Amino acid sequence: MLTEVLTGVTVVVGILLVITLPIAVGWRRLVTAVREAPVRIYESWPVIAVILAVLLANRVVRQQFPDGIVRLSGVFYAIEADFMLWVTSLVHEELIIYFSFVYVYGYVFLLVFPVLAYFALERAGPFQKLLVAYTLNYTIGPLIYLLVLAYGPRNMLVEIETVLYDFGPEYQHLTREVNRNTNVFPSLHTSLSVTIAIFAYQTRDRYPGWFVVAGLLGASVAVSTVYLAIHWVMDVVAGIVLAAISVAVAHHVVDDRQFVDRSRRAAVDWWRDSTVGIELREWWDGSSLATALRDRFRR
Amino acid sequence: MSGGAGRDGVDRRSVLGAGAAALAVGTSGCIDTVRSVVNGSDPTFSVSITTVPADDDRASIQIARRLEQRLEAAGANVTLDVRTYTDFLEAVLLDNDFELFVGPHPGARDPDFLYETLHSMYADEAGWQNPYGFPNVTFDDLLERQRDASPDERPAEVAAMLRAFVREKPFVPICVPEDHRLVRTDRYPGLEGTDLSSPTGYLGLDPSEPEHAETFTAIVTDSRPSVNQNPMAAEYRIHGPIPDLVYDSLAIVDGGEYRPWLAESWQWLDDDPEEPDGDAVDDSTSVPDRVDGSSAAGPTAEITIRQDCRFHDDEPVTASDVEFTYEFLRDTTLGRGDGPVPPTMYRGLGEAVHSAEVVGDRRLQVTFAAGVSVANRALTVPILPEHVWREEVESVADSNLPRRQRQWGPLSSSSVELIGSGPYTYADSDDRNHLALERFDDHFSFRVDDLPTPSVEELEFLVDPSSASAVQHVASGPVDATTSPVEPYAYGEATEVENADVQETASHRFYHVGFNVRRAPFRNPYVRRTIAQLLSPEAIVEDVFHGRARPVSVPVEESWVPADLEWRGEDPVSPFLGTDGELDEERARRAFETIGFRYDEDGQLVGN
Repeated sequence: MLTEVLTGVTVVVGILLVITLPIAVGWRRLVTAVREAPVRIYESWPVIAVILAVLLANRVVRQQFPDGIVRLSGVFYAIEADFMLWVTSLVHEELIIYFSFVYVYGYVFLLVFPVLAYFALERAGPFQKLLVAYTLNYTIGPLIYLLVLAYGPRNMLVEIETVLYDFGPEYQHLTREVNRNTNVFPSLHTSLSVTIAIFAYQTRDRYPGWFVVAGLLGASVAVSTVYLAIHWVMDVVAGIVLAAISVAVAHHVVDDRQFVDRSRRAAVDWWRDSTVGIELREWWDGSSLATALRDRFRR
Repeated sequence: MSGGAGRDGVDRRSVLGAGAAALAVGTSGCIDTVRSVVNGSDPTFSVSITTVPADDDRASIQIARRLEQRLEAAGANVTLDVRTYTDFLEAVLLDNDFELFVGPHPGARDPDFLYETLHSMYADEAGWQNPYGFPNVTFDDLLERQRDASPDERPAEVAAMLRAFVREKPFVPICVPEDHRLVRTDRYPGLEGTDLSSPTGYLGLDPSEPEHAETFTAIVTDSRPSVNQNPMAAEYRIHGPIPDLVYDSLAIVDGGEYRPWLAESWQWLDDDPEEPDGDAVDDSTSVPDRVDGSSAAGPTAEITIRQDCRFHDDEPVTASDVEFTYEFLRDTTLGRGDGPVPPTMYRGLGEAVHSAEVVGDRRLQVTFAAGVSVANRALTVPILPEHVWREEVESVADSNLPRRQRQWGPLSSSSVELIGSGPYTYADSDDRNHLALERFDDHFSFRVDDLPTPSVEELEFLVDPSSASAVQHVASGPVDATTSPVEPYAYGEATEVENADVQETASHRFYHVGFNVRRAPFRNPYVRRTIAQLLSPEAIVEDVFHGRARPVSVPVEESWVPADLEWRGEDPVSPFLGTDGELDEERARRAFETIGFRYDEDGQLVGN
């Protein structure tokens, strides 16, 4: 059942990207980006390597993480139960469908689109900043999960009728794969959506349309987490704070050329001198992909 | 529902006040150990209710919230303490760190389970034995009398004990839910007639096509069996057939009767050994009275184990393994600790055995410390391989001898070799995802006529915390049945699945509100009774269980309930303080005043 949901998400998001990317980015820029992909990847490879490592660690480690230490469900419940019941008392099937779609498909689209769109820009800055901000979200968020144990509203306010998993139990297979039900504070859905929206604002000259879409979609994602009773408002607020911190730090890190150069130099030294680096390089030099790439470059 | 007034007709604004209090406590850094502060500087009545989230059990959190709203309405400060199932059981059973809790209790067929559940001898132990810390020597007498009684006398003794139970309210039983399981009928015709709550339900399955005999797949909504399979780990076990498929017991319960399983037979060594049902044990042979809870010798049975039984590691199952099991259930350190360290499960059953003596390879004589009908219960404990567990105990005991059960590895560790003699062996598991059992080809059931055999090669249990999604799994095909009962909210959808049947089986599981009787206000039976009066089991059955449960005042099978305690719309001693499920706040407040509480100028309940 997980496979079906995953396939569905891949297909829907794929279609959305195929439609939106050419409109927002333009064919010419896309073609250039594909042609220059190896160079651009090389230019940003430390940032790419770090985000991949963090995503992999999230995938592998987060299920094994111990639960948080401080239990906050009771506090959130005591403060917000009334508000949650009020928000979710607006039960309309159209709203549930819209927000479910936004929460599952819209969110994935929101995550993937700017990666590709910024990759297509001539300057690497926005792309690198986005990935650094993702990295920070995916590092700080899980660290807070280690500290705070809280259940979402759906786990306490059973009478809520807009719960995503009552509407589509199959989606729980996807979210269960990604996260545990004790990890709701902060809302990573919110923090990443807001991160993306902030960047969309900052790149509005290049992608004015995307700024509008990211703003509306990001806000919808944040609202959906509450409306579908997955997150408390506190989780959303914490998500927004996390996003602001991540974006600020990402700017600082990437704009600080010295820092970037130093990291790159350290990475290159490691690549050149360490045993693992040497072995990896030998493996890479001998691989067919590297040969193919080299051939392509020469032509 | 709308946000203004709660379903229970309780003004929810008061909850906000509690929220501020909870936050104040929360920021002081110990939200999970909020104490009753009745005797402290703050005289208001504050209490926390420990329970599990909806993913683990939808009914518990709903009952807990109803209780929270009712207590708030009566002027108390209430916080909810929501924990994973394992954490919940650790807090309640092992650490006794709770004030009130709401959750299911596994219950039992025989009312004697109340002996281990409530005997004051166990009040300081960890485990399913008296987690409430209920200390009442008068009640102990009643528990012992029903336990020692001959089968003829027992109903009257049980009735007397139950009458005291409803007056004392050591905990508040709410209801016994109906157990519904969704089973597909196309691949295993006749599956609807089996009882998948019992290990025998997974034996003798008859596939319609030979290839279906390879894997039988079922859904469990509880992830704990996939995480830890130690048969002695109370915090990971509650009900369900899985450990019993791996560990044989001497007898199994089948159709309400104790039938020989690993034991070929047992004979009561009395005047009339031809009568196995216990008629031979008349008044003169019933167990003499005890002094200070120590067990006295009662009837003796000679037990014969089946021929050529083997554990999964090919070691033979002998009478000394059975003797060892009972020894382990009395003291899990096997005499290596400063004092006995009892198990956290099966405590009452172990206690029902006075002594065991091996008289042959396959024979032993067991003397019970209980009447015959309770003695039979002791035959249902899992038989552990002595060579595995003795070694485990000895290797652990060298380095860490426990003071408390909580720290004693063999009672919770997943490092114990999972070897039993049962029809299935553990094959592999993946935390929170799945657990697979493989057929044990050497099981005795293949050699004995009339016993169901493990006909399917592999039993696979998939974890899916949601009943709604479990129903989808069965409907879409690869899954044959739900091993966990379908929760009431998904019942309607379950009945609509094609090629599948909803099977209903007898259940002893009951929902209850537990008190920590060790702590100040709950020591007082009148406080417990008044809190019981805030809830209407009838209304809870209707609202939370959609009518698919039986409201109760005593947590035992209907056949044991005397006429004066039968459910007639309300509890005979602590009737609900309201009508049609709506609490009458004024009456509730007066009830608390009657038992010595006061209200301050803000309408907050203040301790006496």
